Amino acid sequence: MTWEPTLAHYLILAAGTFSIGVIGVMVRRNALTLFMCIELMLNSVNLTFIAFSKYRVDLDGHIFSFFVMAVAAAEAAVGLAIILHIFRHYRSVNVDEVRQLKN
Amino acid sequence: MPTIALLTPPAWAEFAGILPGLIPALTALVLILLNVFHRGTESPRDYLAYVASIGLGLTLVTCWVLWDDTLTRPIFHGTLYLDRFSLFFTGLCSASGLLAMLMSPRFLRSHGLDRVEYYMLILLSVSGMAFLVQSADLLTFFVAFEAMSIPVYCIAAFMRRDARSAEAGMKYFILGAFSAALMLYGIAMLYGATGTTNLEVIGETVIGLMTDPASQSANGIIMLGMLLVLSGFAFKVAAAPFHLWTPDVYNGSPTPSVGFMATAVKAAAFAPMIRVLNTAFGHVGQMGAGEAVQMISLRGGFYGYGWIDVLLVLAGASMVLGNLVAITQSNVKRMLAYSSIAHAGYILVGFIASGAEADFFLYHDAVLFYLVSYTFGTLGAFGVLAYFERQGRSVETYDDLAGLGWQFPTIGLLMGTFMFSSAGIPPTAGFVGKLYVFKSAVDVGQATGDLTFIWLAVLAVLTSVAGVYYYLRVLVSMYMYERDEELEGVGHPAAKFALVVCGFFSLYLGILPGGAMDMSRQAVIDMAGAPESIQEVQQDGREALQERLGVADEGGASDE
Repeated sequence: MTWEPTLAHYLILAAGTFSIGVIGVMVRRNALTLFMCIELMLNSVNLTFIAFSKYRVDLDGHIFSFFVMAVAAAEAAVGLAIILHIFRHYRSVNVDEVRQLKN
Repeated sequence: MPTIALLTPPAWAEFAGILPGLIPALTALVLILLNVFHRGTESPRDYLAYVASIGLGLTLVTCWVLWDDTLTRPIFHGTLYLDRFSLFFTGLCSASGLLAMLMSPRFLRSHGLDRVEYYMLILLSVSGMAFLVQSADLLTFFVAFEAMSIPVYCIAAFMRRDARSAEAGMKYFILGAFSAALMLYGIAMLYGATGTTNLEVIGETVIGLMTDPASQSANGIIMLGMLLVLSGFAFKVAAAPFHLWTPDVYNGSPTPSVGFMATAVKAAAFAPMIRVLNTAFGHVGQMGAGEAVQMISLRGGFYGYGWIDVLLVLAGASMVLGNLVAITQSNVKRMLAYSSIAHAGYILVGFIASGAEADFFLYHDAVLFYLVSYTFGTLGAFGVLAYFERQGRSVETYDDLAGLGWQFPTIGLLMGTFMFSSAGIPPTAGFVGKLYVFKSAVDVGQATGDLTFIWLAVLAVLTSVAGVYYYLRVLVSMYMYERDEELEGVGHPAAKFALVVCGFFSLYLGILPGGAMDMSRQAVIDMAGAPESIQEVQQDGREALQERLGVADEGGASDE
């Protein structure tokens, strides 16, 4: 008998990578790393969608994941431009050094 | 959704439904085209602002024309609604974008930012908002949510030579993308538990799942998903404790656009919040009897999809934190940012009260009216700051404003109106908005015998009294302090016109709130996709409204 991954396996994997992304956003201080962690979160969402979609034999989840990819691409374009902008002004992409705005 | 339905093309009438979102997007393309023919890098591009304003004016006209021509069923295969609720919010967001653009040209020129992209980004954001408030499906909701947010991230970082603007853009982008990812995970959970992304179908499935004791695990997943979606909303409306980005972003972004961010984005986030929570999770309080009601009542805490309880905490925290921290600020922009957090708290009070039971659904009109009054007051306040602000001369702190009320009597008077309206002093729009919202909380508290709502209204009144202090402090520094040198190079006719419009509506809605109130009421009773329990209330409201309007007509006829 061959072993087949079930819905739960995919969900646990997705939840694990999502949590890594969340913890990364909270712990890391490099803007690029933060951005990559957010991308990791979006991709775990995609995995969740696809797993549910396969489990339910329903294509809506597949379609949703395509839209998530498109939005993630748009976010990447804007996000990288903003991070570049930050680097021009601060010569650093460490979010702790970017703090001119305060009362 | 049956697949065969997707094969039938949408009817022509349905295309009217996407016009409010299409017109701003097309205007953005027209702007790019016009900019190609622009000659001379030094010559001003003010006309682009006017063309963009005409585009948003057309959107407003479209909303007005479609107002009596709405459809109760979803259009485009259950992805969008065309109802007065969405038209109301599209109109509000376009008006906010229009006024913000009229305030911008002189500010942008003096900062060396006189570029077409600024107007284009506002137009694209308004387009996203129009689809966001129409969305009937979590897929269109998510895409429109991002179509609204991503242009706003760019606007926040628009001042290329200003390091603070870059910082504002980065903070907004990273936190915004993070909260969007959290919300998306919530949507994935809802899809997994219900097998659909359509709001109405989710609503029906949720009832089925909750009355079935065998589906406990699905209930847990739905609860998790709903809380994650709620956190995304709370981030966009800047409710504590999801407010951390607000002061920094409002402080660093180009001032005329902050008014747009603070008002249109907040209104456009509240609209789907009302729609999603009421359509997908709204009727759970109405099901079953005895123990079942206890389990699935909206006020059931975390175990009953209790978004009311979650929002109670958010509303209280926003009002207290927003007002108390705003008092300590010396920067007016940061003060306005914290006060916008407090306003989110007040709006949440009305939202909680009207969401408590299906019978109170019509109290949402107070929320809609409050958003209108808040829009004109806040937009005007940021507009006044932008009116004075020029390259190398920031007008941000209370000291910067000293004496300006005497030097610019009209602007001083308008700023007084905006501050009175934001503080909720009669006879301004803010007072009527606050009155309706707090009254709805008290009414619901009395009707249900639930003291929490009463205490919430008391807290709201107390905190708004604290708010009067920092709003009036602006006027104190404008009128009671001396200024050494006169401000030069101030003003722009279009900006002044926009400020006068904001001031006019801040006063008009305070003295004659009836018309706007009726529109809010119509918007709420025409909200499509509501569950059956709410539809009955909507029907009652429709009859009551017709009766009242009919009586008003007869009264008018007898006068003649």
